[in-house]
Amino acid sequence: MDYLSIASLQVSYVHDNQITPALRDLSLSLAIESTGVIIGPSGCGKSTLLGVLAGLNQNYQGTVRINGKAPGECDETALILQEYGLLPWKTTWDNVKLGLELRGFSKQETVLRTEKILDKLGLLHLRKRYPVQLSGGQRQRVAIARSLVLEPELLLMDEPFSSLDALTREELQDFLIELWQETKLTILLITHNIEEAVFLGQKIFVMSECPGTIIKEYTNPLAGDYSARGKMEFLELANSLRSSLRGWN
Amino acid sequence: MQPKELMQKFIYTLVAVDILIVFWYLLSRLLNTPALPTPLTAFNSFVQLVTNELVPHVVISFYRVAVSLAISTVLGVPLGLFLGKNTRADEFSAPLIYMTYPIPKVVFLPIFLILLGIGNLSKIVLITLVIFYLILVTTRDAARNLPREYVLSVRSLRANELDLYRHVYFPACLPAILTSLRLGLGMAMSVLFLVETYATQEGIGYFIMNSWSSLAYDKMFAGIIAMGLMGFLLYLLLDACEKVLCSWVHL
Repeated sequence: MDYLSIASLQVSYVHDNQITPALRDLSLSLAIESTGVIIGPSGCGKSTLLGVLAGLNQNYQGTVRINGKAPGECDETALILQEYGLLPWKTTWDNVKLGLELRGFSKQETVLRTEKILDKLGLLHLRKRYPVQLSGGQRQRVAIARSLVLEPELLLMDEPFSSLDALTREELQDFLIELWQETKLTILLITHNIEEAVFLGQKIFVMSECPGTIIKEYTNPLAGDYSARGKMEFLELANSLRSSLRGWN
Repeated sequence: MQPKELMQKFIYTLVAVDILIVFWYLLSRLLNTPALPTPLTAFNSFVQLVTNELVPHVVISFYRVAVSLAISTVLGVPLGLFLGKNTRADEFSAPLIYMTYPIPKVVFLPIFLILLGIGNLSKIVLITLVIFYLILVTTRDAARNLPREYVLSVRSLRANELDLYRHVYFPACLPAILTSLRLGLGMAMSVLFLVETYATQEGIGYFIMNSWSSLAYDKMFAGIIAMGLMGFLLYLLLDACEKVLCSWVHL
């Protein structure tokens, strides 16, 4: 069953009385409890797409359904951004509980759930620290904790690991796969890193230059397989992706 | 703060005071005029006056500055946040603010004296007007330049407009607001002096001008010391507020 389905999505921006199309005729679908990765050149409208899915932009044409509901009505999505997602004036603890607070959970429930998720992600000892006192990897873990504490069904990630060093990035990719296997979330992730796309995406969607649309779709059986990194098939798929991105075929 | 750090700060302050006093002493010796008494004479008369004659003047001046600061904060901060957040309202109001901001507000003193009387009201309104603009413009600019990502990420957690003000805009702009308050304090003290030299017999400004016209220069300097101390204490208070409220900036 498709958890997420998008059909002929069209988004335009009006700037200085000029209409600039950001997305045109974009369609994709993602099965429940699966992972999808969107890859494409910079400025192709990837973030615009996530904005629509997260319910932040209601000004679009076409159909978008998340578990049968429109994005604005759907409370089961969580969004993680590359940077700035965490509020620098709040501690780890306050950042993580923010979502629960905003949705009107009781104090008791908030404390209980915040403590549980921080413990689970190994962040409890960092609860009094501010984001600047955390490493890049820890910060992204806190951002993930803040999303997971709401127990979402769909996790949207906008280049979540792109500002991290190579090793931390791989560590967090492994962590995300573990998390996915455990919670069976549906994950849609944007990246511009080809290896990341092949490692994380059961489905990989290649986007065109602006205005963005899906030009190629891969089904990827290697996703989430730790031993796959460096295997022949892994490299072949990565190469194929690379040439799609360059518009060679 | 660590006791060691506190001690160090105290010593630095002491050194700064010493430098000022030495400079003052040399200048008064150099000029050798009754208009600039030595620090010792001035402090002597300050100590003599501080317990009786000076107190009511300091109290009324403090009241005027504190109330003005409070009112302009209560008015300027919410309005600044609102304009910084809402581009439409900002674009609409920007010309109005830009045209009225550079007008030196002190020129309205005669009008305020006529309209609002010679009591505290006209003085507080004038000081408030001066600081209000400073706080408004600083807060608005800080809110305007807030990285969009903060807003997006919190909005994606289903925050409504009020939540955004509470969790994002206000805390993000608080360092800028406190900076504008500190700058505003300096301006408030100068405007205070001006408004207290006209049509009043209360306040430290009056005290200074009155001592001057009776050629009591030591008294005049006692007044100046009192005014300086008052500004310094208010400044320390704002500094402490910043340390407590914006601890995340100093990490």
